[in-house]
Amino acid sequence: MNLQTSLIIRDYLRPAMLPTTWCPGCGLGIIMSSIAQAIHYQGLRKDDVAMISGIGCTGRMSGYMDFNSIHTTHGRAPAFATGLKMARPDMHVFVIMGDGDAMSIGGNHLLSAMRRNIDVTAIVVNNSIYGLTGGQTSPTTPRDSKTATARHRTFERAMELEVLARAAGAPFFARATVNHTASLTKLVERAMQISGFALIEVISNCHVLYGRMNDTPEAATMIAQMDVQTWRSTPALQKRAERAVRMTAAGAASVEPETVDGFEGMSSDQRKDRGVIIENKGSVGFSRRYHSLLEELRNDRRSGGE
Amino acid sequence: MPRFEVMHGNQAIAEGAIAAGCRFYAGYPITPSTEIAEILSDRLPEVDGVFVQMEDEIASMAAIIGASLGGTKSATATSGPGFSLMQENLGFAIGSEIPCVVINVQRVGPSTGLPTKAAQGDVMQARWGTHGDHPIIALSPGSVQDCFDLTVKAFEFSEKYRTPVIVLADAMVSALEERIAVPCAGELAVYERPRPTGSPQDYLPFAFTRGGVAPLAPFGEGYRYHVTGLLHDERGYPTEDSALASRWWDHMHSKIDDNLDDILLYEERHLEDAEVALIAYGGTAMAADRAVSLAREQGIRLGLLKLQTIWPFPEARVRALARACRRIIVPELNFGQLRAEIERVAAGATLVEGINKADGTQITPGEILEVVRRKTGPEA
Ligand SMILES: Cc1ncc(C[n+]2csc(CCOP(=O)(O)OP(=O)(O)O)c2C)c(N)n1
Ligand code: SF4
Repeated sequence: MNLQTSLIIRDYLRPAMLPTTWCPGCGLGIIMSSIAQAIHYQGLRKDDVAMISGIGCTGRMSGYMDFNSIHTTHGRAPAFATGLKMARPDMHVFVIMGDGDAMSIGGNHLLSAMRRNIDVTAIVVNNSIYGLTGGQTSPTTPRDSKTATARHRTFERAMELEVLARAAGAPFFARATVNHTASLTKLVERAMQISGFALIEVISNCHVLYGRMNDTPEAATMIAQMDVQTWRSTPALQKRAERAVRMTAAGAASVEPETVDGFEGMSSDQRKDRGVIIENKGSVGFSRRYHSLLEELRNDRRSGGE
Repeated sequence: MPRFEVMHGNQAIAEGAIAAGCRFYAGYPITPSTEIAEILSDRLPEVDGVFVQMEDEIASMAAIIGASLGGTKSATATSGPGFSLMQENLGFAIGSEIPCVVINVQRVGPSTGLPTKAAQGDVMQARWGTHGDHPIIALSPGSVQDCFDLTVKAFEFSEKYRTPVIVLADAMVSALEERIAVPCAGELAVYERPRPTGSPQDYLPFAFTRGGVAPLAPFGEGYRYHVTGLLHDERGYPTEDSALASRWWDHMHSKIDDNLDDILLYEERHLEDAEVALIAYGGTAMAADRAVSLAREQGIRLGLLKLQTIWPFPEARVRALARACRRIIVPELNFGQLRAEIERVAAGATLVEGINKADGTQITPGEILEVVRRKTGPEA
C-alpha cells in the first residue's frame, strides 16, 4: 500500500478505537481499507455515510470507521439499515456482514432486504467460518472441511450467496477477494452507483481458524489460493449468470465436478466467478420509490390547499 | 377545544402515535394488533411519514431503532408471539438508549394460545423479557381515551429518558369503541427530542449523567458517533472497564428512578375511606371501576387504584395503600403477575388476593363484586 493510500485510509478511521481486535494477516483490514478508498474516491462526506454492521469479527468494522455507525445485533444489520435509510434517504448506508451473520441468523433479513430492494451498499465478508466465536461451521463452510463443531468434517453443502441474490432479485451482485484489492475497491465504487440493494461478496481469509484446521495456517497461502479458486468473470460467464438461478447450484443434491475452462476437476462448490455478476442499472430502490410517493402526496396537499 | 370522536382502541393508539409525532412505523401483522399497522400504513404517508411492513418482528424492532437514530420518532405494534421475537433488539435499544415505542396488544399465551382473546400475561415479559438487568417503562391503557393519551405519553417518556417504552394494551381496550377527546392541532404539548448544541468534538452521546440523558443527535448532521450493544463509554466506544460499567448502571437506573414523579401515572377512585382497595390496570380496570360504583351503591367501602404506569412499579403509592386498607384485591387476566409485585411491596401490611384467569373470558364487575362481598360480608 503506498503512502498516499494509507493517508487516505487514516482519515476515515477512529484513532481511539484502534488497534483493531483482528488477527495479524486477517483479510478484514484489506476490506476496510478498500471501503474507505471507495468512499473517498466517490467524494462522499463522512457525515453523509452510515456504516451498519452485525456481530462477528466482521461486525467490528463499523466501530473502527469514522462514520455514523451502528454495531447492531447478530444478523439484523439489514433491518436496522432499512429503518435508517427510510428516515434519512439522503445518507449513503453501508451494511457490513459476516457470512454467518448474513446467511444463517440474518438470512431472512438479507433475503427480504434484497427483495424489498432497500437502497444500501452491502458487503458480506465470506471467510468460510464463524470467526469471532472460534471457528464453528458456517453456512459457507465448504463441504468436507474441518471446523470446531465438525472435527470429523462437514457434510452440508456450502450456501451460494450469488444464488440467493439472484433468487431475491438483488439488482447488483459482485464477487471480490482480498487478493484482488484494486478490483475490490472498484467493485465497491460500482455498487455505490446502484439505486437499490447492491451486494458484494468478498472472499476473505480466516487463516487462524479455518486455515489452521484445514492445512492452510498461513494468511499468504490462503490469499494466494484465492487467485486459483476464483475466475475473473468473462462475458461468457456473465451470460450464463444471467439465468435466473445458476444451474450448477440449483437442485444439486449431489454436486458433480463439471468442466468449465480453467476449472477442470473442480466442483461448483469450489469454483467462483470474480467481478460483476449481476448489474441492473435501471433499478430504483425502495427508499427512492417511497420518498417520491411522499413527494407526490406533499405536492397534492400543497395544490389542494391553494 | 378538543374534538370528540368515536373510535376503537387500536385506532386511538394509531392516532395517538401520529399526534405525538411518530413518523416511522415498522411491523409484522398479528392479531389483535394488526389494525394499528393497517391504519398507520394509510395515515403515515398523509403526514409525510413512512410505513414499512417488515419480514418479522425481529426486523421490525431493528428498523424502528434505525429510524430513531435517523432522528424520527418511531414505533412498532405486535402481540405476544411477536413481542417474544422483539426481545433481543429491545435490549439493544435499552442498552444503547434509543427512543422508540413498542405496542403490545396482549392475547392469551403461551405460544399461539388464544389469538383473538384478551389477556394480560405479558406483564413480566414487559419487565424482564430481554436478558440482563435493565430499567424499562411500560404503560397500560385502561380505556380508549387512555389508548390515545398513553401512546402520546409513551413517546414523551421514550424521548425524555431515551428508552424504549412499552404500551401494554390488551384486546379488551383495543377492540372497544368509545367516544374520546382528541386534541386539535396545536392543543397537544408534543415533546420534541432535544438536540445537542455543543461542538461535535465535545459531544458525548452516551454521557453517564445521573438522573438524565444526553441529547441524541440524529445521524447525518455532523455529530458522528458509534452505537453498539456492547457496554460502552460515554463516546459509545466498547469497554470492559468495570468502573465504567458501574457508572453506566448508575446512570441507567437513575434516569428512571430519579424521575418517578413524572413517570408514575395512576388514577384513584374512592380510596380516601376505602376498607378494601382494588388495584387494576388495562381492560380489567374498566370492570374494577364499575365494581366500585356497584359496591358504593350497596354501602361497601370499595376503592380503586388504576395503574397506568406499571413499570417502573409505583411502590410508594401501593405501600401507602397497603397500610391504609384492610385488603387489596387484584383482578388480572393472568395468574397473579402484578399481584406478586404488590405482595412484595405490601410486605404483609395487608391481605393481598387475586382474581385470576386466562381462559379467554373477561373478568366482569359482578365477579369482582362477588369476591369483595365474600371478603367483607359478616361471615368474612
Ligand atoms: C443471537 C446471537 N447468537 C449467537 C451469537 C454469537 N455469535 C457472535 S458472532 C457469531 C458468528 C460470527 O461468524 P460470522 O458472521 O461468519 O462473522 P465472522 O466473525 O466470521 O466475521 C456468533 C455465532 C450472538 N452474538 N448473538
Ligand atoms: S478469527 Fe479469523 S476472521 Fe477473526 S480476526 Fe482472526 S483471522 Fe480474522
